[in-house]
Amino acid sequence: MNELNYQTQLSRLANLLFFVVLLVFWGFFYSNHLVQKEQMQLFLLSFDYLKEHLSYQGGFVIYLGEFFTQFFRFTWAAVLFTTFFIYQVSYASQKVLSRFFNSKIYLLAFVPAMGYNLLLLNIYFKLSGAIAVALSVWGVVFYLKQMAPVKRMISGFILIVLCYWMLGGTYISFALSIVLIELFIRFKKAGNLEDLPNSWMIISGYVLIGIVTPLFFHKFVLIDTLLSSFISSAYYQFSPMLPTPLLLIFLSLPAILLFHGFADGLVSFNNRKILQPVLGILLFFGFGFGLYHLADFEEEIEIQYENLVTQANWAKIINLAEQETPTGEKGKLALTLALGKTEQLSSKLFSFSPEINDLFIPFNIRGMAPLIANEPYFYLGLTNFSKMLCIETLESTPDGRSPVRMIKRYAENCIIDGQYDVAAKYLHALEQTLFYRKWANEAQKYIRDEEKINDHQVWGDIRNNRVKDDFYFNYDQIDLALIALLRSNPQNKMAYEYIMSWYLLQKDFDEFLNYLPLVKTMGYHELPLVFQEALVYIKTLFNEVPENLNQYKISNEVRLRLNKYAKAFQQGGSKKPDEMGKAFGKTYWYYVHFTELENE
Amino acid sequence: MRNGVITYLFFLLVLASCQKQPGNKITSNEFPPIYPDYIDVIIPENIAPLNFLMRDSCKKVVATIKGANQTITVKGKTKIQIPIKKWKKLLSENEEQNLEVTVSALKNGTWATYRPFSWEVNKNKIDPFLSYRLIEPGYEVWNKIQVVERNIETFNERVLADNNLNEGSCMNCHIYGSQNANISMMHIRGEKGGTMLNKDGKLRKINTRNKDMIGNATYGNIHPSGRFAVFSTNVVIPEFHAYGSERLEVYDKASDLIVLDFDNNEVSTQPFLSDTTTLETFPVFSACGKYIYYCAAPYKPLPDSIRSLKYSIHRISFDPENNTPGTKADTIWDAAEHNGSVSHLKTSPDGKYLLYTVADYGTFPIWHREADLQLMNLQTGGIDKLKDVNAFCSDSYHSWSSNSNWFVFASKRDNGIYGKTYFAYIDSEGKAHKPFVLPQRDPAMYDYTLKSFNIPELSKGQTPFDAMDIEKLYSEMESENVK
Repeated sequence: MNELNYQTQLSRLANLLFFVVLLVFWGFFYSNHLVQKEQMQLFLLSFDYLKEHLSYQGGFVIYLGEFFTQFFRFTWAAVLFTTFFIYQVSYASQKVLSRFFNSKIYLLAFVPAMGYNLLLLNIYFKLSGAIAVALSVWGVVFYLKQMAPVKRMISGFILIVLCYWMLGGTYISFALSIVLIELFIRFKKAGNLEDLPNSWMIISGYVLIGIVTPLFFHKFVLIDTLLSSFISSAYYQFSPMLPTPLLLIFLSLPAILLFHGFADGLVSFNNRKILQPVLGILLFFGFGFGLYHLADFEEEIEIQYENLVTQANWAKIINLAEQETPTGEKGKLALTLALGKTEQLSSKLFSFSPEINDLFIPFNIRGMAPLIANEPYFYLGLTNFSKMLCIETLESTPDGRSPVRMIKRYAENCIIDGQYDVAAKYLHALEQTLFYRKWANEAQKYIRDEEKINDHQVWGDIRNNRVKDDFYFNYDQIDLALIALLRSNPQNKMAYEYIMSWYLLQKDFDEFLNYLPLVKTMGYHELPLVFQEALVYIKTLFNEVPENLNQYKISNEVRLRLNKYAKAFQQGGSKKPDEMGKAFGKTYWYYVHFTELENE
Repeated sequence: MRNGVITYLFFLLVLASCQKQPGNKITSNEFPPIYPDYIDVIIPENIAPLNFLMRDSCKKVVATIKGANQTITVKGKTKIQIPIKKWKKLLSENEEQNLEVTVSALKNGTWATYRPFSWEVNKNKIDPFLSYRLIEPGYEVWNKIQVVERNIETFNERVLADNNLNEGSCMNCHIYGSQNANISMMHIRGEKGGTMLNKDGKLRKINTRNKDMIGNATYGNIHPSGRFAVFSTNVVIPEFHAYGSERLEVYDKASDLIVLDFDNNEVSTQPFLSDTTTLETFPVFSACGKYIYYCAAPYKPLPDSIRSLKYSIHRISFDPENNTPGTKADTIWDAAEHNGSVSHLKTSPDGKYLLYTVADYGTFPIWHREADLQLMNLQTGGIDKLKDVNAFCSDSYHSWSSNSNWFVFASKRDNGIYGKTYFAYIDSEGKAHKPFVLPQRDPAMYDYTLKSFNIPELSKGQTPFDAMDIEKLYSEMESENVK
């Protein structure tokens, strides 16, 4: 096999392998992260929106990123687009190297793509960054295609400025790459391009314009920090920062050019035949190692729960939790909400090792309010608190962009509350999107149509469940809000299950007993399992059981299990939580004895 | 044959376009459904074009603006955007006269001409610069905040401060001293924050809290001399309402009143202005600088007694020679008598009026739907409830034009959530007229923006700093401490 064939086959194999790895990883292990990116933006298909994005550095590629991200609501599209753009970084890098150094395979060309792929594992890095890096590398390819020195020079100057304005910080990579290319040409180290006339001046000009352009815009055009004026907000959601890995990615293509410029001539074909597969294997395993260690699979599960709540797929949430109990606050919140929506809190809550804050995420003004935080309030009928948390989420996104999911939810809350003018404002924004337009148009029909709202399957119920008196939000006394819900609509079974669950989680037996009589009005066929377990236990705390507690029927199965539990507990189980957990971990008794509350 | 069809189609087109001319029309006795509501308003001669749009689904719209000697005709699909040069000329040639505006719209194939309305051009100009804070109407968390200066004779806007440049810190109101752009201040919170004071373009950063104060300076006003500022210091607590039509209640757990001497960085107060029995807030100097007006309410346990927390207007003397607030407070407006609660006091530059907001209770009227402006004649004590000015949603955060003929205020009248900036004219009899909203280049802007226009303040000139200066001040300069 000659060198060319060998290189071609190796190149094809490496590309195919890389593409498949990307596809499999994003498709099977990390797709929820991608899907949620769509919920975190509000991409408007309007000329004004494009115009606004063209008015600042990196805005064009942010627009492109958002354009493609809007399709991420379809998992397959999210996986395909992400894979495509990451692959483009590597493909364009190979083109640069092959065009300049006349070889078919340069495995190091995979490094920038692998690097950005690893960055994308972090939810704060943006797809627009991958597109920007790919486009800047394609810019280098375009530059290399300009055979005539003058054309090349003109395109160099224009592209530096254009890359800066359109793509943001990756212009650094572009500018450094073409500077190195010209230096190599100047010293005949590589490439078959003609030297530029007055090459030193032009190379200096490239460097100068690369430095001066952002400074000029910073001084006269942009209202942004100096660092952001260089980098833009196209890559990282916390735009005033430049994470080191991102800087390394910007420097990676120039570094690879430098490496090949010096190293290529030193290695013979035979040595390369050995070295390339070794390097390929190293890269492959290095990338795999990076994926495994940098990916946050726990966060992926959390996001999966959040995404399922968006779809109101309660059965799947419960099913997922039955396979593996969620441990994160979002997963747990999604689970209790799913149980509440399906009226199973009263029978299954303690099957999932609950904790005291599982019903609501405590209000915290630091960091981003999770997308899911408002959901239990929404479904319970506490629309004002749902609105408050929607806005808190909107206001706390790291990049200041409006998550479409919150816009939609806020509009729904406003429709339910009869704040039609505000709802119309938010629906107006949604009408300018590709995928929410239909929904928004439909929602517009509900504005000021009280009967239609009341008949709506979700909105009608929530409207009916809303509180009718006013009080202030207080997380520590959320039971009062739940009681207010019940006062407004005594048939609000979800609110009832939440109240009882809240008191049971608080181990507040007095309040549990206080509200137990309402169980008869809620349409249960029998006393729900959790209530039975709680009641049978509470009865053991009385010297003399009050007569009114005997009206609730406790099944024999529950009585027997309590006896077994009591026996095990007395026989040393109290000091063996693991053993007790295995046998009784899904009972309320286990929660009472082995879950410590702050005030205990 | 083909030519015949083309000729036929051409004639059809000509006929159709004939029908679309405003000549073939029906006449309506209704005013046109325009937004913003610019029907029959008094406008200053130097205001930017009052661009508007049609609220109903018309295909085309034509507006004819007729002055004494000149008429402008503007066409659009749904929006009327008036060329600024023609507008300026029209206004300058029609001082103290009415412009008659006739709107015709093509709807369902028929042109309808609506009842004409008027724009009365008033020769008393309004101060040409307006600063306001652009902020999403959130709860406790904020994201992007900008303090912006708009030239209201055009549509040009300049950013005076951007929290993106200041580590995301919260920024409060930007206020001028006597509508003079060469003396102004704003608070920026955060680790490197302080009160940013602009005096003739020289910027200073002041830490307004000394060891005896309960907090940093909050609501304030600059003395006519420019040397002093009076502030309340407030310990602010937000609460979120559960009920659908309510939103947010903000109250002061404690609040005091101080005067700060910018020349010596010295704070002065009186014991009764800094004790715990009374809550003092929203202080302002009188136009002559010899008095301080402020809101005061007896302390109550909060939030339980929030609905009985009602602020009165008090007045004390102020001695600028010795930087000393007076020791005796007079009640100018008694909350118990009027059964309301006052906030946001603003004295008119000519000293005649006191403009303030009255809500049912509390000290944060921007989320009180019932909050309305009232105007007190300081010479007669008479109160005008400004029926032509107020709307059903919160009207507050007002300030005066330097000639006292105009005032600007923020109102949530459109949807109850988003504040917009309105201007109202006060004639020589003291009568306030129907307000109009700050005109925008694109009249649909108010529909799509998710920003509230907050704390509008008028000034005679352009402020001599911008956001980059504030960034430098914020990040590079040390705060001056007060004694």
